[in-house]
Order: sequence, then C-alpha cells, then structure tokens
Amino acid sequence: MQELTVQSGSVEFQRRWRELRDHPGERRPLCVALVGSFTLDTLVPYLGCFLAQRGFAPRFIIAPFNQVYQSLLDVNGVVRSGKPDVVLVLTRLEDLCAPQLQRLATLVPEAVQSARAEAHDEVARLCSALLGFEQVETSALVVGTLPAPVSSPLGLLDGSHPASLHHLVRELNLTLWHTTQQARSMRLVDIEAVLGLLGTERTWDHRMAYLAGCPLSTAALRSLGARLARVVGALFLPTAKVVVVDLDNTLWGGIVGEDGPQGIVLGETGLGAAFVAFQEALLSLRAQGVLLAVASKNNEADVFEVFDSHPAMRLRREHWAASRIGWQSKSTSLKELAEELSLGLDSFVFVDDSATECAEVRRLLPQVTVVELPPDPARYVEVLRSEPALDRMRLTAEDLMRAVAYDAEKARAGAQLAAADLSDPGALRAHLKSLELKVAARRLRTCDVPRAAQLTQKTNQFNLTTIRRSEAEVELLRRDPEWSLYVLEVVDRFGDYGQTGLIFARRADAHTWHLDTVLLSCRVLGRGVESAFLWQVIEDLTGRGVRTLTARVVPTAKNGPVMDFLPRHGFTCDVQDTWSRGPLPGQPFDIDHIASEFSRDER
Amino acid sequence: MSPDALDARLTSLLADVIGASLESVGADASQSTTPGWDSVSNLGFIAAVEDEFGVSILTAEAMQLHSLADMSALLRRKGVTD
Repeated sequence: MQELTVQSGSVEFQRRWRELRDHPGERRPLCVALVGSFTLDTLVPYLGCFLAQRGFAPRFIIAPFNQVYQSLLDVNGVVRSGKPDVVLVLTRLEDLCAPQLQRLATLVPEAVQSARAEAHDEVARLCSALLGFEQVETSALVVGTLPAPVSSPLGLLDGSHPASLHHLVRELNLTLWHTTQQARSMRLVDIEAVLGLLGTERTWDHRMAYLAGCPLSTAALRSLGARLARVVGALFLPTAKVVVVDLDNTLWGGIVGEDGPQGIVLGETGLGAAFVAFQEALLSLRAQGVLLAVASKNNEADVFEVFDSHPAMRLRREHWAASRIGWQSKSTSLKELAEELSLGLDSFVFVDDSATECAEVRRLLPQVTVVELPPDPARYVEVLRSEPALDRMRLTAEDLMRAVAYDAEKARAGAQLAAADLSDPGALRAHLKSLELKVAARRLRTCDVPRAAQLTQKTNQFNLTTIRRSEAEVELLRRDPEWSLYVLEVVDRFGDYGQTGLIFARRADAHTWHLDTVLLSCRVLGRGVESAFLWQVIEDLTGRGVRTLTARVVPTAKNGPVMDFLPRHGFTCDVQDTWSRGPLPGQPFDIDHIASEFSRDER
Repeated sequence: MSPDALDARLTSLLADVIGASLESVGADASQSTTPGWDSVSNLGFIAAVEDEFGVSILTAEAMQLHSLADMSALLRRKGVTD
C-alpha cells in the first residue's frame, strides 16, 4: 500500500484510517489522549494514519472540548482513567484567554496591563496543571506551543504596541519553555515551526472554527498529524545509532578519484557551501550521540588527502567511528561496519546520492534505513533532517558522550590487539588489569531516571528479563520502599562509559529480595563488571538484613549472553526458571582487577 | 455533467468520507438518516467537495448542508453543472 504523505488527499486519510483502525494486525498498540482547547476529533484520521505508518496501532481518547485543566487534573476523567501511553495537549491563546484578549483590544492602558497579567496567570495555571499531571501519571506528556494568531486586532500596530498579541504569545510560549526545563518528562513541540512550514494563511480555516470548534484547515491537520506522529515515534521507538555516508557527491561534489582532492566541489561559497552545510548537519547529529561512519568506493589515499588537508572540510578523520573505503559493495561495507561497532543493522541509516547503491542496500539489507539524497545538494540538509529514524525527543548525558566514548573504544581495541594471546588466562587477566577498571554502583536518583528508562528500552543482549519501562514507571519504582534500584557507572583508563548497568530488586519477604531487572550495556561486557555490580548490590542488601536473593530469567531471541549470569554467580535453579542464592553474602566473585565503590546517597 | 452524474459523484464522495458502502448511501441520504454522517464527518465531506469540485463554500452555506440534496442544490447554484 502506498504511504500517505502530507500531500495526500483528506478523503484518502479518512478511508485509510477506517481500515487501519479496524485492522491493527501486528502493529504495536498505543493509546493516545488528545487534550485541546479546540476540537481535536478532526485530527484523528491524519495522526492515526501517520502513526500506523510508523508501526503503531493507535487508539484515541478525546478529552471533552476545551476542558484542558479538568482533563489533566481529574483522576476519574476520560483521560486519566484511560491510562493513555501518551497525552498530547494543544491549546490556543484565543480559547484560553478569550475575555482577556477582548480587553487587550480596547487599548486602554490599565485594561491592557491587567489583561496581559491575567493571560500570564492563565498560562502559569496551565503549566502547574501540566507539572501536576506528570508528577503522578505514567503517560508521556507532550505539549504544543501556542500558535500565533493569524492576525491581530491591532493590525500593523501589533509589531510595536504594548498590547501586541503576537508578542504576548511569544512571552507565554517562553513560559512554557521554562516549564519544560524544570519538568521531569514533559516535552514541548514547537507548533509554530510545524504550521510555519505550511504558512499561516493555509493553516487556519475559520469556517471550521464556527462550524465545529476546530479552526485548523485540513492542510494544517495533515501537517500537524505528520509532526505529532514523528514526536510520538521518537518517544516510543529507538533512535538510529549510526549514520553511514557515501563520499563522492554526498560529502562533496564530484568524484575525488577523477577530479582530484583539490578539484572537488566544496567551499565556503556557491554550490560547495551546500556540501559544507550538509557536513555540519552530520556533525550536529554526532553531537546528539549518533555515530558517523563512511562507506565509499574510492582509493583510501585520495579520501584521506581530502579529509586531512582540504580547507573547507568540516568532517575530519577523527569524527568517524569506523570506515570502509574500497571497492566492495555497500551492503558488504554496512555488514562489516555493524560487526565492527557491535551494533545491529536495524540501528543504521545509510545516506547516498546514488539510486543504484540505495536500491542495493534496500534490497539486501531491508532493516537499514536508507536516505536517498535528491539531485540538488541544496536540499541535502532538509532531506536528512526529515528522516524520522534520526528523531529524538530527549538527550541523555550518555548520548552527549557517545562519540567520545567510541573514540575510547577504538583505543581499547588497539590495546587489546597489542596484548598477548587472550585465550591464555594469565594474559587475559593482565589485559583486564591494564584497563584499570573502576565501577561505581549507587541507588538510582531522579536525575538518573531518563537514562535508566532508556537502558530498559534499548538493552537487548545482556538483559535478564527484558522488561521495558517508561521514565514514569521507573520513577514510581524508585519512590517505592518495596524496591531498590541500582545504577552502575564504569570508567577505565581510556574513558568514561557512563551509566551502563541497572539492577532493580523487589522485596519478596522480610529476608528475601527478588532481582526483577539485571542489565548491562554490551559495551562493558566481558570484563567482569557485571560481577562487581552484583557484588555491590549483594553487599548492600546483606547490610539491610536480606538473606536470600531470588531471580528469574526470561529467554528472548537476543539475550543469549545473559543466560549463564545466574549459575556463574552462585545461583541455583530451584524450579523451572526460578533461581536463588543464599545465605547472603556467600562466596565472593573473582573481581580483583576492578576497583569498586558503592554510594548509599539517594538524594 | 448531467444532474445524475453530479449526484453520483457526491454519493460516492460521501460514502468515501463516512466509510459506508455505495449501496447504503442513496441519493436521498441525509445526516439524520445516515449512520456515521455526524458533524465532524460533515466537515470532512465539505472539505472533500471543495477539493473535488474546486468550489469554495461559505460558512452560512455550510451550516445549511445536511443532505445530499442540499449539497447537490448548492453546487448547482454555484454553477457546477458539467
């Protein structure tokens, strides 16, 4: 079936939505609550279709028209009692503050002043309702900025007069932005940016406001549906981890093997600047934690000369996490890069200007996301940025560190090669000792919650039970005295791995605790770190009077590496998949090569 | 377009918008007699008619549109005949 786009006709959306709604198939169920100061029923077919195209089977809860506060605050209302996965809140100043806007339009100075103050109060009230909601609910909360009105009662005066409506909207949006900075999980969507793409005149259809309480045109509903589906996708689907780029006619114009390193199109002006802009866009992805890699059919010497000495290059060799430059097929290069980086091909985005190369990768490696660049390099940046696989609604400290962490990993791999034969236990021990591993375990704090949720979502291999949790769910467990949540940080002499492990334990009875979650990022496996972590947890629980630790392993297609974790650490299998270790602490583990510390500080 | 052809196009457009089979929507269909043709889908129908016939419908006109006969008459007044 052809994918629907923002260009597709509205009837097509209505028809397709009915089919998709009634046939969820294998798609992932998702409950979406729409809370608006205007009618949002008309958004459903568009948002529904776009979500379905991202693999969701959405079900909608629509809050009563213009009951934003009630919907957020009333435990028994349709929104909160429905326990949606995500709540989308869209409001307009015209609805929130209709009487104040009338007073603003009188232009009487005192009236203008009090109307502005009341509008600020109103938005402050909205913000506290939003913060109150996210404190107690597990749903993801996504809030749209206030869209600018199509026109102002002041006409051209609006630009500079104290009663300016547009300026008031900007101030209030700034308040929303400040609120997001102190929020735990609330995310803001810049509605202005979405509707701005369409143009204000095409956004509003005031007939619809008078007829049905929804002032948005069908074109605006399409754009909004598409953008909100990307937002929801970024919240619930994994972000790509690697972008693999071609070189000739992708990072620069021309073919370096024919035109020579100085003959390529790349510079600060003209068409060359389009390639510079594209390189900068790639660097900004790297800053967000995406790894960059190269797959190019070229001579290495030519390529290195460009990277090392072309004055307009923004990307340098040190920015690559890995590269394949040679004459093999792109699909072979991608498979090798996945191997080298220990990452699945489903987390790869491949960028190339050649339709042939893109077709080859699509055919042989359907799990890779392919971005086929358009003929005009001036459009490269926009095409890259419109790829949903690269969308992200949150940045963790680990995301910010990732590129640096992989540089350290390259150094570690080098050290490992330099070490003696590692199948000899003595040499392995010497190698591990040379890494100067340090692990720090501690109870989870509020600030660790986003990363912890991300680890439960993304860790597939070393994961005992593979229970996925949202930030709100982790936060609830963190506050529950029946649970103890531990996080692990690992450092070695090459660098900081950041937070790479979690253990969640739940009280079963006075002397028995149960390991609900044990997971470690694959980056730190094979170094005894998991043993050191478990030992810290055992010591902490023992100190609190716990005598027995139980655990359960849930096999999945991917968690083979965790299968020997329990027997390797002195757990015995009682019945079926249930294991236990006791009396605690029991026999210590072989972790002499690791310096461990534990902090009880929970803050 | 003959009046019959116009009505046939409107009928099929409405069936598409409200997700009904063509047979279940007669030329005499109205909002009160057609399940699924509510105020929200009526807006969808109006938008679809505007796209399909290249006309612009005023708010006051839209408020009076409750049946296929209403729509057909409105389009004819706007000169949609062929």
